Amino acid sequence: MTADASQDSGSRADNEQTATWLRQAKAGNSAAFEKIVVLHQRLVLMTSLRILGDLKDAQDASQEVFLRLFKYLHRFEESRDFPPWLYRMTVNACRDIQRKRMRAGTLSLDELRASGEIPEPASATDLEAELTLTEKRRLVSDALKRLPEKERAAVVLRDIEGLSTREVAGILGSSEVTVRSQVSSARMKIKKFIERRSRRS
Amino acid sequence: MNCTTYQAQIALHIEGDLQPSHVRELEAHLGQCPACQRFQRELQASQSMVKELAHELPDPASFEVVRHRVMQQISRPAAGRRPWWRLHLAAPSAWRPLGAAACVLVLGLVFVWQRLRVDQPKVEMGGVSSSVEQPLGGAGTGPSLASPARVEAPPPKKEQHQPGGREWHVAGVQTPSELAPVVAPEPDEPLEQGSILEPDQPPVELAPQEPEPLVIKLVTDDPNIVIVWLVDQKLGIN
Repeated sequence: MTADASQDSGSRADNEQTATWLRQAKAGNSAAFEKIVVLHQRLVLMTSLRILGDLKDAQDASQEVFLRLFKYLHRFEESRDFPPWLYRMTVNACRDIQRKRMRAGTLSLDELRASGEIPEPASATDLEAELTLTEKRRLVSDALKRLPEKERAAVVLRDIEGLSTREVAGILGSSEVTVRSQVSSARMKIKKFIERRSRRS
Repeated sequence: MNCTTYQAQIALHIEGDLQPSHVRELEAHLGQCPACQRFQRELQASQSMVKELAHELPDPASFEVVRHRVMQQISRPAAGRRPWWRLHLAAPSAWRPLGAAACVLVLGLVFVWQRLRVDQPKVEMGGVSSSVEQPLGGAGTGPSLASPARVEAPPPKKEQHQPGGREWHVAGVQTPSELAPVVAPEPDEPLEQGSILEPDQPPVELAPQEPEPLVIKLVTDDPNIVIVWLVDQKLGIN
Protein backbone atom coordinates (compact mmCIF):
# COMPACT_ATOMS: atom_id res chain seq x y z
CA MET A 1 0.00 0.00 0.00
CA THR A 2 1.45 3.37 -0.96
CA ALA A 3 1.72 6.30 1.43
CA ASP A 4 -1.05 8.15 -0.41
CA ALA A 5 -3.36 5.17 -0.26
CA SER A 6 -2.80 4.70 3.46
CA GLN A 7 -3.35 8.45 3.98
CA ASP A 8 -6.59 8.27 2.03
CA SER A 9 -7.87 5.32 4.04
CA GLY A 10 -6.84 7.11 7.22
CA SER A 11 -8.72 10.26 6.29
CA ARG A 12 -11.73 8.15 5.26
CA ALA A 13 -11.72 6.55 8.70
CA ASP A 14 -11.41 10.00 10.24
CA ASN A 15 -14.37 11.19 8.22
CA GLU A 16 -16.50 8.24 9.31
CA GLN A 17 -15.51 8.73 12.90
CA THR A 18 -16.19 12.46 12.64
CA ALA A 19 -19.64 11.78 11.16
CA THR A 20 -20.48 9.56 14.14
CA TRP A 21 -19.28 12.18 16.61
CA LEU A 22 -21.14 14.89 14.75
CA ARG A 23 -24.38 12.94 15.11
CA GLN A 24 -23.74 12.49 18.81
CA ALA A 25 -22.74 16.13 19.25
CA LYS A 26 -25.92 17.27 17.50
CA ALA A 27 -27.82 15.18 20.04
CA GLY A 28 -26.15 17.23 22.79
CA ASN A 29 -23.19 15.02 23.60
CA SER A 30 -20.42 17.46 24.54
CA ALA A 31 -17.87 14.66 24.94
CA ALA A 32 -18.38 13.78 21.28
CA PHE A 33 -17.87 17.41 20.34
CA GLU A 34 -14.66 17.48 22.34
CA LYS A 35 -13.42 14.48 20.34
CA ILE A 36 -14.09 16.41 17.13
CA VAL A 37 -12.07 19.31 18.53
CA VAL A 38 -9.17 17.06 19.44
CA LEU A 39 -9.18 15.34 16.03
CA HIS A 40 -9.28 18.56 14.01
CA GLN A 41 -7.46 21.05 16.20
CA ARG A 42 -4.21 20.61 14.30
CA LEU A 43 -5.90 21.45 11.01
CA VAL A 44 -7.57 24.54 12.43
CA LEU A 45 -4.75 25.90 14.58
CA MET A 46 -1.95 25.31 12.08
CA THR A 47 -3.89 26.77 9.17
CA SER A 48 -4.73 29.79 11.31
CA LEU A 49 -1.11 30.10 12.33
CA ARG A 50 0.11 30.06 8.69
CA ILE A 51 -2.45 32.63 7.64
CA LEU A 52 -2.15 34.94 10.63
CA GLY A 53 1.52 34.41 11.48
CA ASP A 54 0.92 34.80 15.20
CA LEU A 55 0.18 32.02 17.67
CA LYS A 56 -2.05 34.07 19.94
CA ASP A 57 -4.15 35.29 17.02
CA ALA A 58 -4.24 31.75 15.68
CA GLN A 59 -5.53 30.45 19.00
CA ASP A 60 -8.22 33.12 19.04
CA ALA A 61 -9.21 32.21 15.49
CA SER A 62 -9.26 28.50 16.33
CA GLN A 63 -11.44 29.09 19.33
CA GLU A 64 -13.81 31.08 17.17
CA VAL A 65 -13.90 28.31 14.56
CA PHE A 66 -14.87 25.63 17.06
CA LEU A 67 -17.45 27.85 18.72
CA ARG A 68 -18.99 28.57 15.32
CA LEU A 69 -18.87 24.87 14.58
CA PHE A 70 -20.76 24.18 17.79
CA LYS A 71 -23.27 26.91 17.03
CA TYR A 72 -23.96 25.80 13.45
CA LEU A 73 -23.55 22.08 14.00
CA HIS A 74 -27.16 21.45 13.07
CA ARG A 75 -26.57 22.97 9.62
CA PHE A 76 -23.91 20.48 8.64
CA GLU A 77 -25.10 17.55 6.59
CA GLU A 78 -23.16 14.42 7.48
CA SER A 79 -23.11 13.31 3.85
CA ARG A 80 -20.79 16.21 3.05
CA ASP A 81 -17.06 16.19 3.49
CA PHE A 82 -16.23 17.72 6.84
CA PRO A 83 -12.65 19.11 6.45
CA PRO A 84 -13.42 21.54 3.59
CA TRP A 85 -16.24 22.97 5.68
CA LEU A 86 -13.85 23.35 8.60
CA TYR A 87 -11.18 24.95 6.37
CA ARG A 88 -13.70 27.46 5.09
CA MET A 89 -14.70 28.39 8.62
CA THR A 90 -11.03 28.71 9.53
CA VAL A 91 -10.22 31.00 6.61
CA ASN A 92 -13.26 33.15 7.44
CA ALA A 93 -12.32 33.37 11.11
CA CYS A 94 -8.78 34.38 10.12
CA ARG A 95 -10.16 37.10 7.84
CA ASP A 96 -12.24 38.44 10.70
CA ILE A 97 -9.21 38.51 13.00
CA GLN A 98 -7.11 40.22 10.33
CA ARG A 99 -9.75 42.90 9.86
CA LYS A 100 -9.98 43.46 13.58
CA ARG A 101 -6.21 43.69 13.73
CA MET A 102 -6.16 46.23 10.93
CA ARG A 103 -8.87 48.29 12.61
CA ALA A 104 -6.99 48.16 15.89
CA GLY A 105 -3.93 49.53 14.05
CA THR A 106 -1.63 46.64 14.87
CA LEU A 107 1.95 47.30 13.82
CA SER A 108 3.08 45.72 10.59
CA LEU A 109 6.00 43.35 10.46
CA ASP A 110 8.33 46.05 9.18
CA GLU A 111 7.34 48.35 12.02
CA LEU A 112 7.93 45.63 14.58
CA ARG A 113 11.28 44.89 13.05
CA ALA A 114 12.24 48.55 13.04
CA SER A 115 11.37 48.74 16.72
CA GLY A 116 13.58 45.71 17.38
CA GLU A 117 10.76 43.47 18.61
CA ILE A 118 11.38 40.94 15.86
CA PRO A 119 14.98 40.23 14.93
CA GLU A 120 16.14 39.98 11.35
CA PRO A 121 16.24 36.32 10.37
CA ALA A 122 19.65 34.74 9.97
CA SER A 123 20.51 33.73 6.43
CA ALA A 124 23.38 32.44 4.26
CA THR A 125 24.41 32.36 0.65
CA ASP A 126 23.13 28.85 0.23
CA LEU A 127 19.92 29.06 2.18
CA GLU A 128 18.97 25.45 1.75
CA ALA A 129 22.28 24.19 3.06
CA GLU A 130 23.21 26.68 5.74
CA LEU A 131 20.05 27.93 7.38
CA THR A 132 18.88 26.04 10.40
CA LEU A 133 15.44 24.55 10.30
CA THR A 134 14.11 27.19 12.65
CA GLU A 135 15.59 29.98 10.53
CA LYS A 136 14.08 28.55 7.37
CA ARG A 137 10.67 28.35 8.97
CA ARG A 138 10.90 31.89 10.26
CA LEU A 139 11.98 33.12 6.84
CA VAL A 140 9.04 31.48 5.14
CA SER A 141 6.66 32.71 7.83
CA ASP A 142 7.92 36.23 7.27
CA ALA A 143 7.46 35.82 3.54
CA LEU A 144 3.91 34.59 4.05
CA LYS A 145 3.07 37.57 6.22
CA ARG A 146 3.97 39.90 3.39
CA LEU A 147 1.60 38.30 0.90
CA PRO A 148 -1.80 39.76 0.17
CA GLU A 149 -4.54 38.12 2.21
CA LYS A 150 -6.05 36.06 -0.61
CA GLU A 151 -2.73 34.88 -2.01
CA ARG A 152 -1.61 33.88 1.47
CA ALA A 153 -4.75 31.83 2.08
CA ALA A 154 -4.42 30.15 -1.32
CA VAL A 155 -0.76 29.20 -0.95
CA VAL A 156 -1.22 28.01 2.65
CA LEU A 157 -4.07 25.71 1.67
CA ARG A 158 -2.40 24.51 -1.50
CA ASP A 159 1.28 24.18 -0.58
CA ILE A 160 1.30 23.71 3.19
CA GLU A 161 -2.02 22.00 3.82
CA GLY A 162 -1.63 20.06 0.57
CA LEU A 163 -5.16 20.54 -0.76
CA SER A 164 -5.90 20.33 -4.47
CA THR A 165 -6.56 23.44 -6.53
CA ARG A 166 -10.21 22.46 -6.80
CA GLU A 167 -10.54 22.07 -3.04
CA VAL A 168 -8.85 25.41 -2.44
CA ALA A 169 -11.18 27.06 -4.92
CA GLY A 170 -14.18 25.54 -3.13
CA ILE A 171 -12.96 26.71 0.27
CA LEU A 172 -12.13 30.23 -0.86
CA GLY A 173 -15.25 30.52 -2.96
CA SER A 174 -13.35 31.38 -6.12
CA SER A 175 -12.57 29.72 -9.43
CA GLU A 176 -9.68 27.31 -10.06
CA VAL A 177 -8.20 29.77 -12.54
CA THR A 178 -8.13 32.45 -9.85
CA VAL A 179 -6.57 30.09 -7.35
CA ARG A 180 -3.85 29.09 -9.87
CA SER A 181 -3.08 32.72 -10.51
CA GLN A 182 -2.91 33.50 -6.78
CA VAL A 183 -0.74 30.48 -6.04
CA SER A 184 1.66 31.23 -8.89
CA SER A 185 2.03 34.85 -7.82
CA ALA A 186 2.53 33.87 -4.16
CA ARG A 187 5.22 31.31 -4.96
CA MET A 188 7.21 33.81 -6.99
CA LYS A 189 6.92 36.47 -4.29
CA ILE A 190 8.12 34.05 -1.62
CA LYS A 191 11.10 33.13 -3.78
CA LYS A 192 11.97 36.78 -4.32
CA PHE A 193 11.64 37.54 -0.63
CA ILE A 194 14.00 34.73 0.34
CA GLU A 195 16.54 35.78 -2.28
CA ARG A 196 16.40 39.39 -1.23
CA ARG A 197 16.98 38.39 2.36
CA SER A 198 19.96 36.26 1.45
CA ARG A 199 21.49 39.03 -0.69
CA ARG A 200 21.04 41.56 2.12
CA SER A 201 22.90 39.36 4.50
CA MET B 1 5.71 34.49 -24.99
CA ASN B 2 8.59 35.95 -23.02
CA CYS B 3 10.41 34.53 -19.99
CA THR B 4 8.22 36.44 -17.53
CA THR B 5 5.16 34.61 -18.80
CA TYR B 6 6.98 31.30 -18.75
CA GLN B 7 8.14 31.91 -15.19
CA ALA B 8 4.54 32.32 -14.05
CA GLN B 9 3.87 28.95 -15.64
CA ILE B 10 6.96 27.45 -14.01
CA ALA B 11 5.55 28.50 -10.62
CA LEU B 12 2.58 26.28 -11.36
CA HIS B 13 4.43 23.53 -13.17
CA ILE B 14 6.75 22.66 -10.25
CA GLU B 15 3.75 21.54 -8.20
CA GLY B 16 1.82 20.00 -11.06
CA ASP B 17 -0.72 22.80 -11.23
CA LEU B 18 -0.11 23.82 -14.84
CA GLN B 19 -2.81 22.78 -17.26
CA PRO B 20 -1.63 19.94 -19.55
CA SER B 21 -2.15 22.01 -22.68
CA HIS B 22 0.64 24.38 -21.58
CA VAL B 23 3.08 21.81 -20.22
CA ARG B 24 4.62 20.74 -23.55
CA GLU B 25 5.26 24.30 -24.67
CA LEU B 26 6.83 25.21 -21.32
CA GLU B 27 9.10 22.18 -21.31
CA ALA B 28 10.23 23.05 -24.82
CA HIS B 29 11.14 26.55 -23.65
CA LEU B 30 12.94 25.27 -20.55
CA GLY B 31 15.10 23.04 -22.77
CA GLN B 32 16.62 26.07 -24.46
CA CYS B 33 16.48 28.86 -21.76
CA PRO B 34 19.17 28.69 -19.02
CA ALA B 35 17.61 31.68 -17.17
CA CYS B 36 14.29 29.91 -16.84
CA GLN B 37 16.09 26.69 -15.85
CA ARG B 38 17.83 28.60 -13.01
CA PHE B 39 14.52 30.20 -12.07
CA GLN B 40 12.96 26.76 -11.83
CA ARG B 41 15.77 25.46 -9.57
CA GLU B 42 15.52 28.47 -7.23
CA LEU B 43 11.77 28.15 -7.09
CA GLN B 44 12.00 24.47 -6.21
CA ALA B 45 14.40 25.36 -3.37
CA SER B 46 12.07 28.00 -1.93
CA GLN B 47 9.10 25.65 -2.34
CA SER B 48 10.87 22.97 -0.33
CA MET B 49 11.27 25.55 2.46
CA VAL B 50 7.59 26.41 2.25
CA LYS B 51 6.58 22.77 2.45
CA GLU B 52 8.82 22.34 5.43
CA LEU B 53 6.36 24.46 7.36
CA ALA B 54 3.81 21.64 7.09
CA HIS B 55 5.92 19.61 9.52
CA GLU B 56 6.15 22.35 12.08
CA LEU B 57 3.98 21.86 15.13
CA PRO B 58 3.69 24.30 17.97
CA ASP B 59 3.88 23.34 21.61
CA PRO B 60 1.10 20.82 22.45
CA ALA B 61 0.01 23.22 25.17
CA SER B 62 -1.09 25.60 22.42
CA PHE B 63 -3.70 23.07 21.29
CA GLU B 64 -4.68 22.41 24.86
CA VAL B 65 -5.38 26.10 25.42
CA VAL B 66 -7.80 26.19 22.49
CA ARG B 67 -9.56 22.96 23.47
CA HIS B 68 -9.90 24.11 27.07
CA ARG B 69 -11.30 27.51 26.09
CA VAL B 70 -13.78 26.00 23.66
CA MET B 71 -15.06 23.38 26.07
CA GLN B 72 -15.34 25.96 28.81
CA GLN B 73 -17.45 28.17 26.55
CA ILE B 74 -19.80 25.49 25.35
CA SER B 75 -20.30 24.14 28.85
CA ARG B 76 -21.98 27.49 29.52
CA PRO B 77 -24.33 27.47 26.56
CA ALA B 78 -26.28 30.55 27.55
CA ALA B 79 -23.21 32.69 28.09
CA GLY B 80 -22.63 33.58 24.48
CA ARG B 81 -26.24 33.83 23.50
CA ARG B 82 -27.68 36.16 26.07
CA PRO B 83 -29.76 39.02 24.82
CA TRP B 84 -28.29 42.47 25.35
CA TRP B 85 -30.36 43.16 28.44
CA ARG B 86 -29.14 39.97 30.08
CA LEU B 87 -25.58 40.98 29.30
CA HIS B 88 -26.18 44.27 31.07
CA LEU B 89 -27.60 42.45 34.05
CA ALA B 90 -24.54 40.29 34.04
CA ALA B 91 -22.39 43.35 34.51
CA PRO B 92 -19.57 43.26 37.01
CA SER B 93 -20.86 42.39 40.46
CA ALA B 94 -19.50 45.69 41.83
CA TRP B 95 -22.32 47.49 40.00
CA ARG B 96 -25.11 45.38 41.41
CA PRO B 97 -25.31 46.98 44.91
CA LEU B 98 -25.27 50.42 43.31
CA GLY B 99 -28.07 49.45 40.97
CA ALA B 100 -30.11 48.01 43.83
CA ALA B 101 -29.57 51.15 45.93
CA ALA B 102 -30.66 53.36 43.04
CA CYS B 103 -33.81 51.28 42.59
CA VAL B 104 -34.66 51.51 46.32
CA LEU B 105 -34.07 55.26 46.31
CA VAL B 106 -36.32 55.81 43.30
CA LEU B 107 -39.06 53.62 44.77
CA GLY B 108 -38.81 55.46 48.09
CA LEU B 109 -39.11 58.85 46.43
CA VAL B 110 -42.10 57.71 44.41
CA PHE B 111 -43.76 56.37 47.57
CA VAL B 112 -43.20 59.59 49.52
CA TRP B 113 -44.44 61.69 46.63
CA GLN B 114 -47.59 59.61 46.36
CA ARG B 115 -48.21 59.92 50.09
CA LEU B 116 -47.80 63.66 49.89
CA ARG B 117 -50.28 63.86 47.09
CA VAL B 118 -52.89 61.74 48.86
CA ASP B 119 -52.50 62.99 52.40
CA GLN B 120 -51.98 66.68 52.01
CA PRO B 121 -55.14 68.73 52.33
CA LYS B 122 -55.08 71.94 50.47
CA VAL B 123 -56.36 75.35 51.19
CA GLU B 124 -58.50 76.74 48.54
CA MET B 125 -58.64 80.37 48.37
CA GLY B 126 -60.60 81.98 45.67
CA GLY B 127 -61.56 78.84 43.81
CA VAL B 128 -58.52 76.65 44.40
CA SER B 129 -59.90 73.24 45.17
CA SER B 130 -58.60 71.13 48.00
CA SER B 131 -59.38 68.21 50.24
CA VAL B 132 -61.04 68.45 53.61
CA GLU B 133 -61.32 64.75 54.18
CA GLN B 134 -59.19 65.30 57.24
CA PRO B 135 -59.54 67.97 59.79
CA LEU B 136 -57.89 71.25 59.15
CA GLY B 137 -54.20 70.95 59.61
CA GLY B 138 -54.62 67.27 60.40
CA ALA B 139 -52.35 65.90 57.74
CA GLY B 140 -49.20 64.34 59.00
CA THR B 141 -47.15 66.17 56.51
CA GLY B 142 -48.90 69.45 56.98
CA PRO B 143 -48.92 71.65 59.98
CA SER B 144 -50.36 70.37 63.22
CA LEU B 145 -53.86 71.10 64.43
CA ALA B 146 -52.50 73.81 66.57
CA SER B 147 -51.05 75.55 63.62
CA PRO B 148 -52.83 78.71 62.97
CA ALA B 149 -54.64 78.73 59.71
CA ARG B 150 -55.00 82.19 58.52
CA VAL B 151 -57.33 82.94 55.69
CA GLU B 152 -56.86 85.77 53.41
CA ALA B 153 -59.29 87.53 51.27
CA PRO B 154 -59.95 86.09 47.84
CA PRO B 155 -58.91 88.00 44.79
CA PRO B 156 -61.62 90.38 43.76
CA LYS B 157 -62.44 88.60 40.52
CA LYS B 158 -63.07 85.32 42.36
CA GLU B 159 -65.40 86.86 44.82
CA GLN B 160 -68.89 85.45 44.59
CA HIS B 161 -71.35 88.13 45.07
CA GLN B 162 -74.33 87.41 47.21
CA PRO B 163 -76.81 89.95 48.28
CA GLY B 164 -75.63 91.50 51.40
CA GLY B 165 -72.70 89.24 51.95
CA ARG B 166 -69.41 87.86 50.68
CA GLU B 167 -68.38 84.30 50.04
CA TRP B 168 -65.13 82.79 51.28
CA HIS B 169 -63.52 79.52 50.49
CA VAL B 170 -61.54 77.87 53.21
CA ALA B 171 -60.47 74.29 53.00
CA GLY B 172 -57.81 72.90 55.22
CA VAL B 173 -54.11 73.59 55.40
CA GLN B 174 -51.24 72.28 53.34
CA THR B 175 -47.88 73.44 54.50
CA PRO B 176 -46.79 76.46 56.42
CA SER B 177 -45.76 78.13 53.22
CA GLU B 178 -49.17 77.47 51.81
CA LEU B 179 -51.03 78.76 54.79
CA ALA B 180 -53.54 81.14 53.45
CA PRO B 181 -54.31 83.91 55.87
CA VAL B 182 -57.82 85.14 55.98
CA VAL B 183 -57.95 88.80 56.17
CA ALA B 184 -60.72 91.18 56.17
CA PRO B 185 -62.29 92.05 52.86
CA GLU B 186 -60.57 95.36 53.03
CA PRO B 187 -56.88 94.68 53.00
CA ASP B 188 -56.26 97.97 54.68
CA GLU B 189 -57.87 96.84 57.91
CA PRO B 190 -55.56 95.12 60.36
CA LEU B 191 -56.38 91.64 61.55
CA GLU B 192 -57.51 91.26 65.09
CA GLN B 193 -55.90 88.83 67.43
CA GLY B 194 -58.88 86.54 67.59
CA SER B 195 -59.30 86.29 63.86
CA ILE B 196 -56.75 83.58 63.43
CA LEU B 197 -58.46 80.36 62.40
CA GLU B 198 -58.18 77.38 64.63
CA PRO B 199 -58.86 73.90 63.24
CA ASP B 200 -62.03 73.48 65.19
CA GLN B 201 -62.79 77.10 65.31
CA PRO B 202 -63.77 78.43 61.96
CA PRO B 203 -62.81 81.93 61.24
CA VAL B 204 -65.03 84.26 63.14
CA GLU B 205 -65.18 87.85 63.83
CA LEU B 206 -63.42 88.79 60.72
CA ALA B 207 -63.99 92.35 59.98
CA PRO B 208 -66.27 93.05 62.94
CA GLN B 209 -67.21 96.39 61.64
CA GLU B 210 -68.95 94.87 58.63
CA PRO B 211 -72.64 94.30 59.15
CA GLU B 212 -72.95 91.80 56.25
CA PRO B 213 -72.58 88.10 57.09
CA LEU B 214 -69.60 86.24 55.74
CA VAL B 215 -69.98 82.98 53.84
CA ILE B 216 -67.10 80.59 54.26
CA LYS B 217 -67.02 77.50 52.11
CA LEU B 218 -64.87 74.50 52.71
CA VAL B 219 -64.42 72.85 49.35
CA THR B 220 -63.39 69.23 49.22
CA ASP B 221 -62.03 67.12 46.41
CA ASP B 222 -65.48 65.71 46.08
CA PRO B 223 -67.42 68.36 44.23
CA ASN B 224 -70.62 67.14 45.93
CA ILE B 225 -69.33 67.95 49.40
CA VAL B 226 -69.08 71.61 50.25
CA ILE B 227 -69.13 72.80 53.83
CA VAL B 228 -70.59 76.24 54.16
CA TRP B 229 -70.25 78.40 57.22
CA LEU B 230 -72.27 81.52 57.57
CA VAL B 231 -70.62 83.98 59.86
CA ASP B 232 -72.52 86.77 61.37
CA GLN B 233 -69.90 89.21 62.19
CA LYS B 234 -71.82 90.44 65.17
CA LEU B 235 -73.20 87.19 66.57
CA GLY B 236 -70.68 84.58 65.46
CA ILE B 237 -71.17 81.41 63.47
CA ASN B 238 -74.72 80.46 62.40
